[in-house]
Amino acid sequence: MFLRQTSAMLLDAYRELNAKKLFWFTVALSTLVAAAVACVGLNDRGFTILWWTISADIFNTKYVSPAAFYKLVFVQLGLKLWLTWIAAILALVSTSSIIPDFVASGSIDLSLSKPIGRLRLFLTKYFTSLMFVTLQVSLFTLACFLIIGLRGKLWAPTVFLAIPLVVLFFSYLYCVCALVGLVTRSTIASLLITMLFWFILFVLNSGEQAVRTFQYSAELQLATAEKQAAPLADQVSKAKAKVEQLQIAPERETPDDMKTRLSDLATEQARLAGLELRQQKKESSVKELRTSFDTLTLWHRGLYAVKTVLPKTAETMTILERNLHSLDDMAAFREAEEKRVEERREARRQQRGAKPDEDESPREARELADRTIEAELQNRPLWWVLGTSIAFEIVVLGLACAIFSRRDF
Amino acid sequence: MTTATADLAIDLKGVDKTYTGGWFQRGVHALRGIDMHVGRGEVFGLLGPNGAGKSTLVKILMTVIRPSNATGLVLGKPVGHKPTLARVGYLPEHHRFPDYLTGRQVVEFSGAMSGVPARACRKRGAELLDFVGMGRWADTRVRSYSKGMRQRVGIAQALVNTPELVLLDEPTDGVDPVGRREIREMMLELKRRGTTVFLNSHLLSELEMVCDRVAILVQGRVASQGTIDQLTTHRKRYEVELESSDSHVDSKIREVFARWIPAQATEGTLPDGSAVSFRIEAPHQPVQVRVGSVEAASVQPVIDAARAAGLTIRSVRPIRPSLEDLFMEAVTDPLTGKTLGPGAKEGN
Repeated sequence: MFLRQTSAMLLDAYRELNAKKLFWFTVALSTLVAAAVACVGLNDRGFTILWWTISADIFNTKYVSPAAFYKLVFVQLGLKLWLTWIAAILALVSTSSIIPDFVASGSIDLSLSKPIGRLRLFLTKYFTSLMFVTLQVSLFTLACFLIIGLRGKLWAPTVFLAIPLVVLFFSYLYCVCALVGLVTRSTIASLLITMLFWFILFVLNSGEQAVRTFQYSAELQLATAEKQAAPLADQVSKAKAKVEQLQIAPERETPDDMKTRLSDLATEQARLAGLELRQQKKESSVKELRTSFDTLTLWHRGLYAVKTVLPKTAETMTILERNLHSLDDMAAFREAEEKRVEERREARRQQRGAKPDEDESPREARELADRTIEAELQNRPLWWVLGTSIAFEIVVLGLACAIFSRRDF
Repeated sequence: MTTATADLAIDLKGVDKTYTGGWFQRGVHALRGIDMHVGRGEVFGLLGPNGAGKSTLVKILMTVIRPSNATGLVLGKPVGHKPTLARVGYLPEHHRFPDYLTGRQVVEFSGAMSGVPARACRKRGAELLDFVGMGRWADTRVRSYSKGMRQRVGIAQALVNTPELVLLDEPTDGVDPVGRREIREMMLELKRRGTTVFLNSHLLSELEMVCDRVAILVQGRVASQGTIDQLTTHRKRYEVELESSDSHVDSKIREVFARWIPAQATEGTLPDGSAVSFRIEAPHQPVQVRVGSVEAASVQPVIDAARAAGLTIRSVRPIRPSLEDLFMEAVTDPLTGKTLGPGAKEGN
């Protein structure tokens, strides 16, 4: 009976999707996006769209292999833009009515009067509701797999990792949608509250990333300031010693010697005063930087703690990216990009007439910070990204199950 | 009730339900210790005014609502036993089928959820749709059905698992007279096949035609329960209509019935102990005499006396109260004579 009921609910979920125009509209849009990706190519001068060539410094076959290029397009355009934003919004709009319709008076009576436990009924309904996204992402990923294989000459089954990841990403939001839909029985309320929740996650994620970038920059600046302050202290102590030495008159000092000594003393005292002033300024600057760094660290810890208990939508999607980047050709692409960035940096240094070991300009420091933070975000532990997000989903679903099991309909 | 538990499809004892209110609302005591017995293979009707707790009771039986307290059995298993529901069919009031499904899909989905194998479900579904007159429209989406058509499909889905017990909440709601008749016949056919039918309806005349037993629920309590015969026996009577050309009919009637009805009164007792009463609407209008007995012999002294006094007997009719009379009696406050308002009582 278990299989019969589950397969019936699965078939019902498919029929429900099939009846929704938005489902087919999204399929059509996915096909268009996949076709657009297939129309883009790469040659030694740049990238091509159908039979036109657009010159590009980095997007050409000298730097990037077609396979790496298509994977990059799949991740950046197909995954990060299409599947996790536009298609996800369409999926939410399309599926937000499923739970409110399911628990509506007259409809829920029919389901609850069947020989199926409430917990299993609700969970089966919830998981079959994820079919919209599963079908959409499966079709799109299959199309992209074929495009990368046929046009990029690389058959990379790793791209299919997008299916569980996008479904997981969507389920973080859908569990909230299901809970609100169950409590309010309103499609509009569940959709709006889920969108608001998603927006909060986005703001929190961007905020944490920005604060971490500022914190990292402050850390670098603090290290530089401390590095600069250390020799200054040495110079001050040496200057003090010299002043003390010059203040003591030798036993048999001639007037000329005394004149020279006093003149040196005056010079040395002026230098010491200058050094002490610089040291004071530097110390004050270090102190300010430390305060700023401590404040940012505190903020970052707070935001990180809040993020820990909430689902990590952005980081979940970077898991696929980091898996794709581990492939040799993607690594080569990154190396090429890094080499190109280094060349540009060197050119700017030469323009400024700076030495290679001199401190980098603020723009370069910012670029470095951005790249470091990006790498740091990509390398966050898997248990933190997936484990805590799934834990959040389990808690929300548990709450929904408790309400569903206890409610009188 | 002497019926053995094994012969009962539904055997409820002390079913209680209180809906808890919100923060500033009082709870509603919807059911107050319902004791009810429905025998296997009978058609049982549940009556009651709006808010009496009928739907709450049906929903408790179907596990849609959790009772505050209930000891009882449905098909020999405790109330709320989920696997038993595979042997029960249910048509809720104001049901809402997914409008993206066709009638056939609704029936087959219901069967699948009750654990009916796919092939049997298809076969039985097609038979039932023909049976309820929806064979032609089986592959049309529910969204284009009329209310009556939805109701017919609803009945078909309730029967797809060949249930031993079927609960129908307002099954003829929105159905045309022809359809109502067909549904009535269908219920009788179910009875012939040994299926127990638990019917919840406001259409008392229809219930009267098909039900073996009824229960009247008023403000969360069973006001009366039994076969229609049992409930009406003590209310059965004979009515004799007399006519007189005499303008002083009042005094003439008093004279005729003086031996049984005291002076100035309109009620008395016949020699066999049956109650007798008369009512005069207006002068020159027929007089109605009521004899509170189901025995024809009891009415003979009244006829003899009337004939001896030269009164014309227009008619002698045995009167059996209708279900509506029983219902009205149950929902009327005996102290005030006013009908009890709709809804359950608040609080305890």
